[in-house]
Formats: sequence, structure tokens, C-alpha cells
Amino acid sequence: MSLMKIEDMSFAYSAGGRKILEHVNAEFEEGKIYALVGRSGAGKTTLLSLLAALTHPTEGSIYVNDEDIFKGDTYKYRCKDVGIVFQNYNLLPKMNAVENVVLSMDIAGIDLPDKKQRAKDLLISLGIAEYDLDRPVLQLSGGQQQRVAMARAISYEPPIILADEPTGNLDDSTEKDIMAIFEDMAHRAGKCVIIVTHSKQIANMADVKIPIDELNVHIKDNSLAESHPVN
Amino acid sequence: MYIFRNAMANIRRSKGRSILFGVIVFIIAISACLALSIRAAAETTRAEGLKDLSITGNITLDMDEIMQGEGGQPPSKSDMRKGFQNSELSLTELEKYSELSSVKSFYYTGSTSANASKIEAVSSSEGMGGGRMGGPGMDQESSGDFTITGYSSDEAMTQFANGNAEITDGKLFTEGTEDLTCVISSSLATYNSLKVGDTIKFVNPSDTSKTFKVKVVGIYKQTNSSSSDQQGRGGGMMMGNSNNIYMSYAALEKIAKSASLDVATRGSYTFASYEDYQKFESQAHEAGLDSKYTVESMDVNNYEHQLQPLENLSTYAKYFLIIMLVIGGAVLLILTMFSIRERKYEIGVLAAIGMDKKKISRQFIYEIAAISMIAIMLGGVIGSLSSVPVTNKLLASSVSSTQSESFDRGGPGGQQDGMPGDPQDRQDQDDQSNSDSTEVQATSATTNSSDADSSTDSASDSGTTTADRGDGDRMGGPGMQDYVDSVTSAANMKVTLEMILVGLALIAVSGTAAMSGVMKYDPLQILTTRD
Repeated sequence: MSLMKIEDMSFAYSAGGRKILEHVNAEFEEGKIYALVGRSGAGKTTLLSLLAALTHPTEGSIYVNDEDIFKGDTYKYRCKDVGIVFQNYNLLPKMNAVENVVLSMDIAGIDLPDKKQRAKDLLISLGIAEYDLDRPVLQLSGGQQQRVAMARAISYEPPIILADEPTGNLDDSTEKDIMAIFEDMAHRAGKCVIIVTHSKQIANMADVKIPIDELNVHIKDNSLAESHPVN
Repeated sequence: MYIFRNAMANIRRSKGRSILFGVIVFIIAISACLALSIRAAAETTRAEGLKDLSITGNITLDMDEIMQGEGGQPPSKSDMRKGFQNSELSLTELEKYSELSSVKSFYYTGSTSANASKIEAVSSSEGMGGGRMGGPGMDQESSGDFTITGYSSDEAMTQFANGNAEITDGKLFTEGTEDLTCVISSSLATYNSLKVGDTIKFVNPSDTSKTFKVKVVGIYKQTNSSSSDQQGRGGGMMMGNSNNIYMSYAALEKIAKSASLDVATRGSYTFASYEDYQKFESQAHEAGLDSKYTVESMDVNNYEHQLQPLENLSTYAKYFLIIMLVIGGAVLLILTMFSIRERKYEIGVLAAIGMDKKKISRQFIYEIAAISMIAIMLGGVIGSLSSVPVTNKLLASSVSSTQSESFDRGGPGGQQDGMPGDPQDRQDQDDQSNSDSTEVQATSATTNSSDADSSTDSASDSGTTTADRGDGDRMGGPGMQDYVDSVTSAANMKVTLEMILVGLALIAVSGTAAMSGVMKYDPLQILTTRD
């Protein structure tokens, strides 16, 4: 059974303008990594923004556990149901790594006696050295910042992880580490991980590869996994 | 809770921004506190001064009412004349109003003018103004060298009661006596070699066949030169005029009847409180007093005059406060808008990770409120502590400025005289515009005379008003003014409450700017357009 479903969704930046996405249908399941691939400008990031409810579709909708995410509280959806890893990390620069993660848990309403310790443990498990935990995030390397962003995204244990070019700015070694984390999230923790990427390597590591051009109009219901099996 | 915690953490994280915001609020707070304290000081000083003031009031012609005319048109000369005619209230009428509940006590004086057959009037200006303004009716009866004043009671002779004049030889005439006994000034006694027990023969200046004799029972001397000046200015008791003769009202009435002299009678009402004084006029009008009369008190006028620099300062403080709040509010508004603009990335991230915009706004408002409260508390405390010395410093400048201003206007009294609606001013108009109306002169002069008497009861106003009113070239400089030039308290509970309101207003202004800024940003747009 799918966790997330896109139903006949279209999107244009302005009313009556050119549609970036048109009649898109797709389903996403728990425990899998999906790679949204395609040329620049094809609408990958737009689709991810829609999945994150950062913008609204012109037509159609997205359902999570059969509930229309746009009919509910999109803020609540973002802080509970999805964890977003942005291309530019989008960490709060004046906070350190731990504070960034704790804030996310606070927003999600996680009620734990020691959120700070939980954040530290999480960050360390994602490869952040202990002495980097209290440093302002801007002083951390790109890879470290990406790890912090990932820790922030999973800190409140959302069922869906959305990542926009998560390894775009990273070297190969770090890219592998990051992907290992995503695999762990999907395969061990049972999350639904949707990654937007240019990288063929990342796409090949995904359980399901979805070319955005095909998804857009041409790709039909339930055909994704079958049409584009990994390897 | 986390929103508040995060707000506090943000204040610490962005020290520069927080300090800048705090400094602006602090400047506004300290300025507002000082301005409000000055206003509070003026109000307190006025209220306390009036509370302690012994108030004597008189019914006088309301020149504004008479000059107003009908239908907004200026009155004709004949209308004005009509208004002035028969304007003097009879003793019966004056006594009627003394029965009103607001009146504490009532006394009255009468004045007339006469010549003497064997003695000469002191012709020098020793009286410091008393000669010209010797008393009611004096201008009309200028042929009389002497002013004879009769007092209904000892209470009316406030100069003696206050110690500003004293009997140096003999005694004061008996209260209410019909015996033709009087007291004269030591100057007149010396000038004419008069002594206690001598008899003076007076002549009706209009009819020399009408004479009367008065026995001197006492000789008085001024003990307070400034108060002497003061008395001289209004007529009435005329202690400054050496040619004033004092006796009981009953005796004066007897003389007036026998020698066919006109007596101008004026009543003085004393009040237990300022509220009673204020109440008296409406009560009197309800009791039948014509609308062309009003009630005035030189005590109150004098006190208000003393407060003028403080009132001026209070007015400046009000404008300063308004300007400060408007400019300060605008600066805070702009600063908040810039700050929100600068933090739009943060807003975008917070919204993107699921923080409701209302919560983001709340966090920003907490930040603004926390900084504002600290700055306002600091500003309020420092402002309160410095309010008295700062108020006194500014008040000293205001006093100096008021003095030089009044001096520039042609004498220390210039300012008061020049003030529209000033009762003294009205009297001048009265004197000039209606020189043929004895009644009006009498009534008005009465006001001044008895007011001047009673004004010595009030704090330290003696002499000041004399200097104000007296001839500028004679009385000299601004140093003669006696203004309230210091306050002992400024900030009070009211100021504290007002400061809280100022703080809330500033928080509301900045908070609204922050909220509208947060609400207008679209997180996706912020994140995708970030450099």
C-alpha cells in the first residue's frame, strides 16, 4: 500500500501560465528510496516542493495515508510527516548543529526529557564529530552541514524524507556516506526516501528511478516501479 | 515554551541587532519618562499648591462675556456701557452668595475718598503704586487726597493678621465699631505731626460743606516692603499708600451717610479648598448671579502665574514626548522592517521545517517585547532617578526664559499683563474703557485689593506679583519674579503606568511590523531566491 500518492496533479507558477507539471500521477511506498531524475528545468525541485507542501498544485493533489495534504495544516505536515533535506542545507546559521536539530524537534512537538542529548546522539551517529556539535553550522564543511540537515530532517522521525540534490556539493566519498545514511533510513528504518538528483550514481543506488519527463503526462498510474526497476 | 526560549536565544545570538534596538527603545524610554515626569511634576505641584492655598475669591465683571456681544458680533459702545452700568453688587447681594455651601467665610470692605482740612497728603511715591491705584473709585474721585477704607472684620485686614503691617503706636480700631476711629500710616503721621488721640477733619471733595471728624487711635507701619508694594497695586487695603486711612466698615457707613460720600463696597469670599472655589461660581449663578459676573481669585491667579515656567516646561515636554514617540516609533518601525527583511531567510527556513507563521511572528514579538521591556525598565529607572534634577535644571532655564521674556515685554509684569483673559489685564481694560463707571472700577479694584491681601497667605508669592504688576522701570528686573523654580518629586505611579503604556505601544508598533513582515513572506520563494 502506498504511503504517498500524487493524483492527476498539475502545476504552473502563474494562473494560466505554462504548466511545469501536468497530470502527474505517482505513488510512493515506505522502505524505498525513490530517485527523481531529469534534465534541469524539468520540474524536479518543483515536484519536491509540492511533495513538501511548500507550494500548492494548480490541479490535483497529493495524499499521504489517503489524506489530502493541502486540505490539512501544511505546517503540521511539514513538521511531522516529512523531513526535508534542502540542496543548500538551509540550516539556521546562527545556531550550532545541536540547536538546529533540537529546534526541529521542538517544532514537531517532540516531548522528550533530553532533546539535546538525542540530537547529539543523532548527529554523532550521522558522522558529526563531538567537537563540532557546538560550533555554528556555518563553520562546518559542506558534508557536515548536509549531515546536520539530514539529522534535522529525521530527528522527529517523519515517515517521508525528501532530499533535493543531497550530494550535489559533496565529494564522492561523502556522497557515498550520505547515500548510506539514506539507505539506512529507508531499508532499516522503513522511511520513504524521495531524492531529487542529477547524479546517475545516486539514481542507480535508489530502489526506484523516476525520470521526471516520463512522469510528467506520459507516465501512468502504478507503472513507475515496473517501468523503471533499479538495475 | 520553545518559542520563547528560541526568542531569548536569538537575542543573545544577534547581540548587535538587539543592542541597537534596545538603545533606540532606551532613548525613547528615558525621554518619555523625563517628559512624563515633568508633566507629572507640574500636575503634582499645581494640585498640592492649590490644596495648600488659602483662597479668597471675588465676584467680578466677566469682561469676556461683556465684550462678546451677541450673535458673534462685537458689542457696541452703548452695549458695553450698559454692561458696566449698575454692575456693582450691593452688600445684600454679596452677603446672599456668602450663604452658599462652598463659602467658608465672607468679609467685605468699603472705600471712599475725601480731603482733609488741616493735614496734607503725603505726596511722594512712597506708596509704590498705591497712589494711582489707591482704591475703588479713586480715579473717579481724584479730587480726594485720602482714601478711607472700612473693614467689616479683623479677618478682612489680612495685612495685620499676616504681620505685613503692625500697629506701632496706639491700637487698632475695635472690630465692627461705629465709633469714628481710624488708624493712619506712620508716614502720614510723621508728615503731619499727628499722634494717637488727634482728630482729623475730612471734607467731602464734591461738597466742601460736608465734613466729618475721625479720631486717630493707632499708627501702623509696613513691616514687609514687598508686600507693601503688592497691596498698593490692587487698591483695596492699600497698605502701600501712606494716605490710606483705615476704620471699621460700620464707621465708614456712618460717615458716608452723614457726609454724603459714595462708598464702593466689595465682598471677599474665602474657600476651604480649590474645589469649593471652583464650585462657587456655578452655585452663585444658580443662586441668581447674572452671567456678566464671574468669580476670580488672585490667589489662584498668582499661584498659576508662579507655575507658569513649570507649565511652559510641561507643555514643551508634551510636544517633545509626542515628537519623540512619533520619531522613535517610526525609527523602530523601520528598524523592525529592515530586521525582518534581513531575517527573511530564517523565516523561510522556519516555515519550511514546519513552524507556523503565527508562531514565527510570536517569536519575533517575544524578542521585541523582551528587549523593549528591558530597555524601558532601564530607561524608566534612569529617567525616574534623574527626573527631579533634570526637571529642576530645565525649570531653571524656563524660569529664566519666562523672566527675560516678561522683562522684554516692558517690565516684570509684562507677561502677566499681556496674557489674554488675565484678570489684571481685564481690570486695565476696564479702567481704560470705562473710566466713567465707578461701579466697575470699584468692583474690579476690590478684586485686586482683597486678592492682594489674601495672596500673602499663599506660599511665597508675595512680592513677586508686585514686581510683575508694578511699573517695570521702577521695580526693576526679572529677579523680582517669584516663580516655582524647583520640584521635589517628578516620577510617580502615574508615570510608571504611562511608561508601561508607552512600552506596550512601542511593542505593538514593532510587533505589528514584524508580524506583517513574517506573514507576507513565502518560504519557498525565500529559499529559492536565496543567494
